[in-house]
Amino acid sequence: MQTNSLMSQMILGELEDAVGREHISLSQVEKIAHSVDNFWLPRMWVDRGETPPVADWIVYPGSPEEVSAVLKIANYYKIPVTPWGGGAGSQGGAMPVRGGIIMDTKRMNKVIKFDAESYTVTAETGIIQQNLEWEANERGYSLMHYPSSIGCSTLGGFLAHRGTGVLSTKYGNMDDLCVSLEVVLPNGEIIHTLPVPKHSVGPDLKSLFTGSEGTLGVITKAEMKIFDIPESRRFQAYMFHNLTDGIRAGRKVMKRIKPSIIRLFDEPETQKLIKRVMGINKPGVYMVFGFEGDKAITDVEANIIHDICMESAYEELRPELGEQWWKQRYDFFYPPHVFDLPRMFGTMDTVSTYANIEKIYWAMKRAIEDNFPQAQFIAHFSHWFDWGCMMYDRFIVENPPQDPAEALRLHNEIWNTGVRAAIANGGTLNDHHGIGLKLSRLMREQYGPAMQVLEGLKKSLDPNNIMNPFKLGL
Amino acid sequence: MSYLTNEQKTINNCRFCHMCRHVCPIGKQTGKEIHHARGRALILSRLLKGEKIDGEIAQAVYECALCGGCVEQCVTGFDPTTFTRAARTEAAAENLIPEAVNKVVQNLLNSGNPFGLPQAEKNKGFADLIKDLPEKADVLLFIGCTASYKTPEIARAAINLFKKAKVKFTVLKEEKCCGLYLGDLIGAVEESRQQASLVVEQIKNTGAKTVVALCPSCTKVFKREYPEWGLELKAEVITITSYLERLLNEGRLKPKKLNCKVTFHDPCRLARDLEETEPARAIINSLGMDLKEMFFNKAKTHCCGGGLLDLYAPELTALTSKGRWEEASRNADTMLVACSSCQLVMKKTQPENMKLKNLIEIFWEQCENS
Repeated sequence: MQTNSLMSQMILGELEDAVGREHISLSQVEKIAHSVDNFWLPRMWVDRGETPPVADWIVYPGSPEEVSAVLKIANYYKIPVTPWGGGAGSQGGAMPVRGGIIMDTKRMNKVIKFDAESYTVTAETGIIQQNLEWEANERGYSLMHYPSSIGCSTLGGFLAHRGTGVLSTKYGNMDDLCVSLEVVLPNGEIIHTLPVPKHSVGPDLKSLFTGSEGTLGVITKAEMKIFDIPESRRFQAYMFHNLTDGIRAGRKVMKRIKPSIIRLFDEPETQKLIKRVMGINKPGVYMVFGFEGDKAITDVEANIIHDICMESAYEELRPELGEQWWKQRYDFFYPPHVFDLPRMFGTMDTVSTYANIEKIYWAMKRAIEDNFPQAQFIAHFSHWFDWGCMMYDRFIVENPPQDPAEALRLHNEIWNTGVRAAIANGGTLNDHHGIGLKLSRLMREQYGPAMQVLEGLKKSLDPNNIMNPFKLGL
Repeated sequence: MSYLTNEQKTINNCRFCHMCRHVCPIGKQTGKEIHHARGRALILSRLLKGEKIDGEIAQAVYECALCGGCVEQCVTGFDPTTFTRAARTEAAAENLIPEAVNKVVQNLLNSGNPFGLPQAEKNKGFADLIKDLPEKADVLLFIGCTASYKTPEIARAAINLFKKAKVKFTVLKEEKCCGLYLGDLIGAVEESRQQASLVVEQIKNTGAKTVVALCPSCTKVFKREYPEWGLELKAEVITITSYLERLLNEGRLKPKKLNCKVTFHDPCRLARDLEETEPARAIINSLGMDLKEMFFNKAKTHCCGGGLLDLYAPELTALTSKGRWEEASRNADTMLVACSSCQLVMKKTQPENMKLKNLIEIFWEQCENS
């Protein structure tokens, strides 16, 4: 839509009426800043001197009522709306691919209430997660959601893609950590999910909206669990000869106790990242365990982990090396450690049962490296469950094509190949980064006939298809 | 050649990185993408590819307090303030300085201070105390523009403390601006250097071996920028808080105790640029105050917004200072500051149930009759 047309100005007037003139921007600077998230393609696009899709209006609502007013306007004029939290997602979920409105939620950034009795905190979803965590820390609590992007992204963003953090093995992902939500539906109605996450009152509404990536409405408030800061948090690290031994050890540990962290790095990632950032230079694969809680319990857990791992590990590293990993866990994500242009790279995280996960590792590795000799495949296994674990695998192409269209083609071909290998062997399209634009085209392959359930929901809640179009395959 | 060319490495490393966004005091309040390092770097990276700077970009790069929160956060050592400054120089070179900012620039160039006030009024608030001071002395108390013009009571407190401690000192009767603000607004260009060189000459003429700066920003520019600008102050440069701690330790000041609970707002220039946090705490301790530390303290302090930003974007410093008051209110009903700029900014949004005190002033009050 041309922003200098008469109708654009009329709509602008309505939006200003809804949120206040000072909370709307048409500046090119803000539009560009809201056109690139952490997805490789728009970053590459900008790097090659191109401009990704930009919104027509950047709108900063300050309350669910303002969100409602904006969505009503958008519905009436059939204007696409892309919710934007931190804009730090890796899947292109916040890209305004059809222009329209970017709804930046970060004005809604207040902590509303700590409930010390129930161990929950309620906050507006535009708060940067780290700021929420710090407010909890000031009171002696933690939300126990520690992704590397904790300082980059909002509470709402993490809920919208059902994100996970470093401690998820013990505490769960964002859906597990969430007690209830306030959501503004595409028609502007403000609704609340039930006040508790476990009940027998029909399908769980909360779980419909967590992971919906802004396609079914805008999450505006969330009540989240909080935890006491643990008395003891310990780390132990081991070197194994190979992945099989490491996965077996992790599975055995999960049968006995619930650590907060299990992280197993494959050989290439052990060499590439662990050596570079931590200076550990040993053959095989590096595995770190974190566990926490009452000291009496962690003392027992330490022994259990030690006994299980030393059945097959060739070396137990000093605990300081596990602690060092913990202290430096975010360092991997600062430049120049983090993968960045000019390289092409992608995180093809998937999740599966123990029976399948190592098979998926080799299938994806072969699929990528056999079909794309210029690509390297590295992985670690970082979020573990009773039934299986996830694999955080990445491909890296050192010198992708300079031509942006060629680079895009290669990028998408690699993705298609890799994730199809995962799905074919019992894995999922994604574990915790979401679908966004990046994997939208593959949702039907993942779900098959079940896709109609999501499509039906979308059609019912968003008949004008204004909410985050072309994402999630919807 | 663009002034940004030298900052290419930092720009290209920051343009897609969000890892410092949560510490920006402005971004925390506004939520805007241009109010953190990544947003600015992304825009500036396009200039490196041939786009021209324009008024919108210029406006964006001036909406930063240069508080160094992002610098402190970056574990791999990138400094986004360098490209923000370079972009400001670029904007100045292209005559694109935003109007409100340019007013301050012109004040600095024409009046020698950021407020556009006459030089003759600079010492008005404490002229009586300095009229009999010698022209030359081993110690020079450098007052700074903000205290001189806006918080003369702090200058009076510092002067009185020096007299109480029998320090042989002087104060410049026609003190020039240290040059920090001009450097921050248009960069390390000839105009900034020239302004600073006047101060160097003034200080040299006093023969001072020690320069005690009342303002952390003045201290910072003396110690960090002057050598980069090829200027040399042949004297020890020390903050007022460090010097007062020295006098305390030498037994030359003996304050009476004050029984109250306080919290302390670390000035960003002091805590981060100068890496000084303990002398102020030593002074607070000597006063017997019960200090309740803010969660974001010392090097993690949240900038109030800063005196310079307040001059041309008071709507932003209103937001940042309100945020800081919220943080303070969780700890005590009295906030102590050790910087006149912080004092001015925080005063504007001071809640009714909170008190604001300057540490230097309280220290004098407790030393006066001891």
